[in-house]
Amino acid sequence: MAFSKEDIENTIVSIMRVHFLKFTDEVLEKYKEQIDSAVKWYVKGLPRHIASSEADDLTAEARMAFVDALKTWDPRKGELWPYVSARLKGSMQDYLRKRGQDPVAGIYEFITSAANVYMAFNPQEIAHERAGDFMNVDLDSVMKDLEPNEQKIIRGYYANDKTFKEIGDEIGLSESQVSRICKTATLKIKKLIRP
Amino acid sequence: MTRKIERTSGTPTGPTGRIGGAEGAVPMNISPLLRRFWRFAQDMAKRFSKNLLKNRDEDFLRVVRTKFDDEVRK
Repeated sequence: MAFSKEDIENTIVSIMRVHFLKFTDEVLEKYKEQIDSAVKWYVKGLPRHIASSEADDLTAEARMAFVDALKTWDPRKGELWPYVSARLKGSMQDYLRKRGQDPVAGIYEFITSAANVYMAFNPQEIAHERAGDFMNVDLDSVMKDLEPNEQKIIRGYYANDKTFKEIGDEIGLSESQVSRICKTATLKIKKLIRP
Repeated sequence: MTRKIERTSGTPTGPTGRIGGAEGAVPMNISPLLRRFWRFAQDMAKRFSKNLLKNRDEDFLRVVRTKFDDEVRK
């Protein structure tokens, strides 16, 4: 079987990238200060009321964008930071744009999803005519599709009745970050339980 | 008559056939295909490793050595 030069190089890079992603925490640690300064620089240009309430979330958003960018970075095309930093700014802009569109957007969907997930975790509490829908949910397999942090937050919030603050203290995140991750994970679980 | 050859440079010479020292040598126990791209692999390992807290060039190369053949066969 004949392989082109590009095929071989792609194979080598993809093997190394998979290995590189195992050290995501290390890369985050190395670029922590640069990410924080990028966020600070971006936040400085925002109106004060937005800057004070969104700074934490923007930092979290920037970190997530950083991790996502690691998955697609190609070392043949240039250094990591220039590639990633452009994406950080874009992700923060997207985040604010989404928040700005409608402050109550998705709240109804979130509340119904949260109710469903709560019932899945606490079947003994259900006094509802559609209880059967939630009794046979295989939560373990559903939870496997979530990130480790999402799993901790979902279990803490729905199964152990902890507050976002308590969960945040345990896993080292702010209350607002925990709330946001919980919301995303809840919607994710809802889709998995009842597609 | 024997001519005495004097060194003109103060830089010591490395072992013959090993440009860049022992780390730069192409390992013998890898497939010929990978051997042809070994310099490229070393370069990529350096570029990935540069973004980590410690130098893991060798680690990346070890992974390529062990997984390359399987990946190519896929």
